[in-house]
Amino acid sequence: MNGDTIFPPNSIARYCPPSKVEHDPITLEPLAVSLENFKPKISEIGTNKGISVNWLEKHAKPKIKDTINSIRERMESYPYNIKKNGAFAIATVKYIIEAGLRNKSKLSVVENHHKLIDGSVDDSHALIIGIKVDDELLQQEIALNVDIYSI
Amino acid sequence: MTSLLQKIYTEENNIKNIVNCLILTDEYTKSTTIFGNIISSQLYKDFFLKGDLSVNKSDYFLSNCLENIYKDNAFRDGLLNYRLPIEFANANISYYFSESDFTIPQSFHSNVNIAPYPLEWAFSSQWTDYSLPLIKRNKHISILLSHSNPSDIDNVRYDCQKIISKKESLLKEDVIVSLKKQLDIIINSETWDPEDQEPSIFSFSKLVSFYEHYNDLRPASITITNDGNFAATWFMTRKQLVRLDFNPNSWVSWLIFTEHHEATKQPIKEIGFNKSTDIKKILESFKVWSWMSK
Repeated sequence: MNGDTIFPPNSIARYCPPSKVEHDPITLEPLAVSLENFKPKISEIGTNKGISVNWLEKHAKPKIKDTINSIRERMESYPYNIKKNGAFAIATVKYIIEAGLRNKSKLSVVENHHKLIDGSVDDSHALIIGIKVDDELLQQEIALNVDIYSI
Repeated sequence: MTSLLQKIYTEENNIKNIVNCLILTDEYTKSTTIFGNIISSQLYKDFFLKGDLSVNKSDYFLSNCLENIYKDNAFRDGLLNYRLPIEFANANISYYFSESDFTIPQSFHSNVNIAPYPLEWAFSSQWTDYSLPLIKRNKHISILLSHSNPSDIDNVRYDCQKIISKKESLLKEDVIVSLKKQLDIIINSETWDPEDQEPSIFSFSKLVSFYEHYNDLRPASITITNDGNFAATWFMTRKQLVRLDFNPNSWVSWLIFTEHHEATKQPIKEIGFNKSTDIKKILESFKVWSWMSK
């Protein structure tokens, strides 16, 4: 239900645009995602809304590739487009919570259903709550420990 | 930058609103750029002869030769360094400088009504009561610039590539190749989200200058921050890195992240914010500079 907390052992996926993917400087293969993907953007009124993610289990398929494709298809109905060369960062909710605790931040993942262009609702959309804008060490720790699936 | 002025010149029908002249000096490279000399005689009359600018106009305007403008006027009263962006705009377009390292001869500031703007004004692109007399008339200069139109993102990449080309003889070949290839990936109109902050060419310039000064550096992974800065990341392993976020004002946000450092046998997780000239010393103290230069 919208607003409910998502607990372990669930997982989340975060879309990372090409400009925030760390590429190998020689081979150009995706190496990691940058900490910016886990740095909240502050709204004009100063609100930290959290980090937009998708609840992986809502799209669960036997193969992770198919799961990612399912999320990708859903995101194509978002007001913004998924770009080619981007990547998805996958992490367990357990890892997110523990990374927060190691950095003295209480993090949680909550359902945040997203209204799509066609009027339907994406019930897999969620937010990571509790990451401070200036806590780059926490953002970097999360960014370095996610699994990456390039599109 | 000249090409950007030309871009305005060719794309905007109301180029008559572009006025000469402005001299900008990059403190870091000591290079000087002169803009302007496009004003029409009619506008000269409108703006200056009938205007309320009580200056010796002939000293500064309607020169047919930029070099003469430079020779006659530049630096006459010394340089006044403003750590603020500068904006000139006309009724239809608004470009801004967000570079903080540029200097304006004081004479130009006081007499020609070139003024520094607080950052928030520059980004709001609104006419304000604080604007200069020319702006109050909604007829004002348009000078350079970060590209304020997101559709110009490919031009940002082009400008970045030009910065590389200018410094090509001073950079290592592998750095040049890597920067150019990564620019194609991370700054591309086909993949760029127009809601993202536009990349700062000034930040990119600082990154290139850093490579220029520390020629032993190996190529880094390049990304764009939420603020539009360029960040360079040197990976030792997939989970150990040094990250430098190049602010346009020559300051660098640095981050070191190691799980088990080979020299100290301890994890390092440190961040800081220092002048770019101090970065090498700081990173050497953590014994991570060698990662970046191997």
